Amino acid sequence: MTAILEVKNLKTYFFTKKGIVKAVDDVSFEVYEKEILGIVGESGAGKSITGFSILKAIDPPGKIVDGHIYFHGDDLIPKSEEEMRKIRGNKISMVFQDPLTSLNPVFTIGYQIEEAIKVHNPHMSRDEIRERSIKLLKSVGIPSPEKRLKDYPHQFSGGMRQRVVIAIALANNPDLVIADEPTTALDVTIQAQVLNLMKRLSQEKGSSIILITHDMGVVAQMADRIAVMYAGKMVEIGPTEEIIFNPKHPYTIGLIRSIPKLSGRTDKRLYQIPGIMPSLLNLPPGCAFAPRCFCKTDICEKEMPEFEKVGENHYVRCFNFRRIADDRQSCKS
Amino acid sequence: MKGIFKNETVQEFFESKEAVFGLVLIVVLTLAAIFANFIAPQNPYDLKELNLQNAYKPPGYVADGIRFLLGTDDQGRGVFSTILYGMRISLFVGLVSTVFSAIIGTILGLIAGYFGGKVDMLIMRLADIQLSFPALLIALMIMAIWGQGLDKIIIAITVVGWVYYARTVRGSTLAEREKEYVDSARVVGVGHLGIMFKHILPNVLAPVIVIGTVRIANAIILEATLSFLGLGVPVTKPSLGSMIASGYQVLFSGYWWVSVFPGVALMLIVMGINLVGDRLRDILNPKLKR
Amino acid sequence: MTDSLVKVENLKKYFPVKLGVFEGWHFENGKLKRKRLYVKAIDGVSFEIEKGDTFALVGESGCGKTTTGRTIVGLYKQTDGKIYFRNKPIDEVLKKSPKDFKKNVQMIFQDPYSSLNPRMKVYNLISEPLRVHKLVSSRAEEREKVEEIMVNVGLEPEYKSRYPHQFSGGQRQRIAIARALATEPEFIVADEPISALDVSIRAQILNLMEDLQEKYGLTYLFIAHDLSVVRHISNKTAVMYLGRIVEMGNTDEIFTHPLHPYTKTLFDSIPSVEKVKQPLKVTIEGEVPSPINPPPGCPFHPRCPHAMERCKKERPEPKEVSPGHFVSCFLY
Repeated sequence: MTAILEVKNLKTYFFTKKGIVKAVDDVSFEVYEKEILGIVGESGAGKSITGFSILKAIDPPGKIVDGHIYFHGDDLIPKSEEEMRKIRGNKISMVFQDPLTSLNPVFTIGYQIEEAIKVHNPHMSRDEIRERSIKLLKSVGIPSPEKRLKDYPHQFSGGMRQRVVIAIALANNPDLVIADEPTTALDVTIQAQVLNLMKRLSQEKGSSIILITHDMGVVAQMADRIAVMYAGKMVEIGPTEEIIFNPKHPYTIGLIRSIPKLSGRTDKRLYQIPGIMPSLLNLPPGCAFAPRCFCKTDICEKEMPEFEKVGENHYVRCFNFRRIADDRQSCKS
Repeated sequence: MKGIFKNETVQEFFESKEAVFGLVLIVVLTLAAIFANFIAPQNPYDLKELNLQNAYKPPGYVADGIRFLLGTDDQGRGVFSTILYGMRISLFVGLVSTVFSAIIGTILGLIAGYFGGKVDMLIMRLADIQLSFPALLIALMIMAIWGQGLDKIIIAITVVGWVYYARTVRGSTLAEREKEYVDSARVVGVGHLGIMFKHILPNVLAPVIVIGTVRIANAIILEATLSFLGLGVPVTKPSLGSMIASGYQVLFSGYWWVSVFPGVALMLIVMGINLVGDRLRDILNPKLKR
Repeated sequence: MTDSLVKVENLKKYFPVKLGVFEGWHFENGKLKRKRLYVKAIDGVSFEIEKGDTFALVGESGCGKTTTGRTIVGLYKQTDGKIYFRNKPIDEVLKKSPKDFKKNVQMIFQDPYSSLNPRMKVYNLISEPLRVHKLVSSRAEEREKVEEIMVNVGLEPEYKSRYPHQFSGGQRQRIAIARALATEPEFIVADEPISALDVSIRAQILNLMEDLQEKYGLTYLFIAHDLSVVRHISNKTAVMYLGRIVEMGNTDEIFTHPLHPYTKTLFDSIPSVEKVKQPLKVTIEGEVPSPINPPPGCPFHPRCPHAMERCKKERPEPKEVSPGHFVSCFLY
C-alpha cells in the first residue's frame, strides 16, 4: 500500500484574544491509495480543522504553525496560495456538512459544476465541459441531468443537493476527497444512499476519502481505518475492526461502550464517560483525557504519552493501555 | 465598577480610539452643561446680568469684570456662557425625547411582532404613513397645533422618533418569537405579558440601545432646527438652535462668532454621540460581527 | 376507558401554506377562487401512553413526530382529533385550568442552545416555573427548591447565577431538564433531547433521564430519529412516516420482528458499530414525498419495494398482528 498523503506533526493553532487554541496539536497520519480513512471525535476535537489544514484553508486567527503535509511525496506547507489553488478542487477536493451553504444560491447547478471543471481545465471546450457535467450528475444519480443543470440549488432536496456537491467534488477525478460530516444534515435513509454513492464512486475513480464524522456507526461501516481524535490530539488509529472490537485507548473504549446498541441492552445502565472535554484554551498538562479516564495514573497528569504500536497498523497514545488490556480491574485502584 | 471593565462588550468598545474619543467628548460636554452655572462666567438667562452695551463684542472682549471668551450676541450675552446653558437644553431635550420614544416604540414594536395579525398591520401601517412624511414636517404640524414650549418640543420629537424603534423591535421580535426558549416559556405556563417583557424584551434590547444613541443626535439636531425656525424654546432662554438663528442674520456683517461657536458645539455633541453609536452598532449587531 | 395517561385519537395537524399574492387563484364555476394548500404534518395518528411508559416516536425529518409532541403539550392546536390527558380532552382542560395542565405536562427541547433564554440566569430559568405555578411561598423555600433540583439533575448549585452560554451543551440540557422537572410533572415530551449533544455526553443525559424516571415515576414521550437510542430507552415504539404511524408496538417486538417495509428500511439504513465493514444497505431509493401533496393510499407506496396496485388507492388501517403490535400495511 502506498501512502498518497502523509501528515507529519501537524500543528494548527488559533491565536484568539483569550489565548492560543491548539485545535490540532501534533497530529500525524497517512492516507493510503484507494482507502477510506475515518476521523472520529466530538465537536472541538480538531477533526474538521485537520481536514481544512490539509488544504491549507485556515483563515486568521488560525495558522498552521508546524508540521508537514506530503501529498504524493510533495510537501504542501511551503506552497504558495496560487499553487494550492491548483490542487484544491482538482487533486484534493472537499465535501462539506451543509449542502445548502456550500452551494451558491444565485447560480445554477450547471454553472457551478462547469465552473469547477473550467477552473482546472482552461482549454476544454464548452461542449466538452457540458458533456462532462451531465455525465457527472448522472453518475451521482440525479435523474434527467440535462434539465436539472438549469436548476438552482433551492430546487433540489437536501439529499439531491449533497449529490450535486459530491459531483462537484469529483469533477476533476481527485486523488483525495475530504468529506467533513457529509451526511450529518441528512436523514438516515438518504444518508445510506449518499454514503454508498461516495464509496462506489471513489472505488470507480480510485480516489481516497478522509471521512470526518462524529458517528462511530458511519465509520464502522464505511472506513478501512479509523483515527480517533480528542482535544486536538489523535489518540488512536488502526484498522476498523481493531478499533471497534479491540479498542485500546480509554476514550475509544468509552465511546464505543457508551453507544446504545441496536440489538438491545447489554448492561442495565448505559456506560457513560464522566465529565466533559476540557476547553482547548486551558488544557490540563499531560494527557487531555486524564481527568475523565478510568485508568489514569500519576504520570498521565504530567506527561503526554507518545504513539505506541499495539498491533498491525494499530497505534495508541496511552501510558496504561497494557493495564487496561490485561486486567480492567487493575485500573479500579 | 471594576466588574464592568471585565465585560467583553465594554472591553471591545474601548478597543476603538474613535469611540473612546467620542465618549470623552460626550462626557466633557455633558459635565460642562450640567455644571454650567459654576463654569459660565455669566448667567445668560438672568436678564439682570445682561448689559446691552456689550452686544456684538468680539471674542476675548472684557467688560463688567467678565472676559467674553467667545464674544457676545445682540443682547450682550456671552456666547460661551450661552452655549453652556444652551447645551443643557439640547441634551435634556435629546435625552428625554429619545427615552420616551424608545419606550413607546419598543412597546408597540413588541406588541406588533409578538401578536402579529391585525394589531401588527395597524401599528406598522401607522409607522409607514408617518415615515412617508419628513420628520421636520410632522414636528412642525404638532407644534402648529399645540404651540411652542420645551414640553411641546419633547412631545414632537418623541412622536417623530418612536417609529424607528417600533420597526426594529418588531423585526427582532418576529425572529425571537420563533426561538425555542419562547416555546419553553409557553410550556412552563408563562403568560403573554411575561413572555413579551421578561423573555423577549431583554433579547431585542441591543438594537434599541444602538438606535437610541443615534437618535439622540437626531433629536438634538431636530430641536436645534425647530429652535432655529423660531418654534422652539422662549427667546429669553436660547438653546443652541436659537443661538445659531439669532446670529445667522449678522453672520456676514462681521459678527460670525454668534453663529459659528454654537454651531461647533452642536457639531461636537452630535459627532461624539455618533462615534459612540457607530461603535455600539458594530459590537451589538451580531450580523456585522465576523 | 383504559387506564392510559395520554391518549391520542385520530390526531391531525395541518399547517396552511403561505402563498404569494398571485399564487393559488383559479376560476371555479365562473368565480375567482383561491386554492388553499396545507402541509399535512400529522394526518391521523392514534396511540396511547400508559403511566410509567417511555413511548418512542421515530421517523425521519418531516414525518410529523415533533409536531405530534408539540401538539400534545399544547404548543399547537390540532386541526382534528382528540388528545386526552388522564382521560380528559386537553382542549377543555386548557380552557378550564391551563395552569394545572402545564404543571403536569412539560417538554424538553432538542437544542439546549435555543431553548434556554440567553439573558436569564440558571437560577431564574429553574425558579420561573415554581413562581408561575406558585409552588413556593418564600424566597428561602424557592432557593432551597432550585438547589435541590439542580443537585438532582447533576448540576453544581453554586453555578446558579451563571448564564446558559457559560455551560457546555450537556450541562445546558441538564438545565433544560431541571426547568421541565421543577413543577414535578407527570408527563414529559422529550423532543430529540440528545441529538444536539456530543457523543460522549449523550450517555450521561440518557442515564439521567432514566434515573429521573425511576425517581419521580415519570412518563416520557421520547421523540428520536436514532433507532439505537430508541431501543435503549423506550418500552413502546411507534414508527412514523409522512404524518402517519406505520408500525407500533413493544420496542423489543418491533426491533426483533419489524414488519412494515419502511421499518425494515430504517433498520437497514442506520449505521451501527454492530455492522462493522458491512456495506450500508440501500433497500429504497428516492426521498420522502412532500407532505403538501402526500401520495394517495399508503404514503409509503412510491418508495416501497412491495407496493401493489391496492396500495396506490387504499389507505391501510392499523392491524394488530400480534398482541399490541400494530402494522399499517396490506402485506399483513
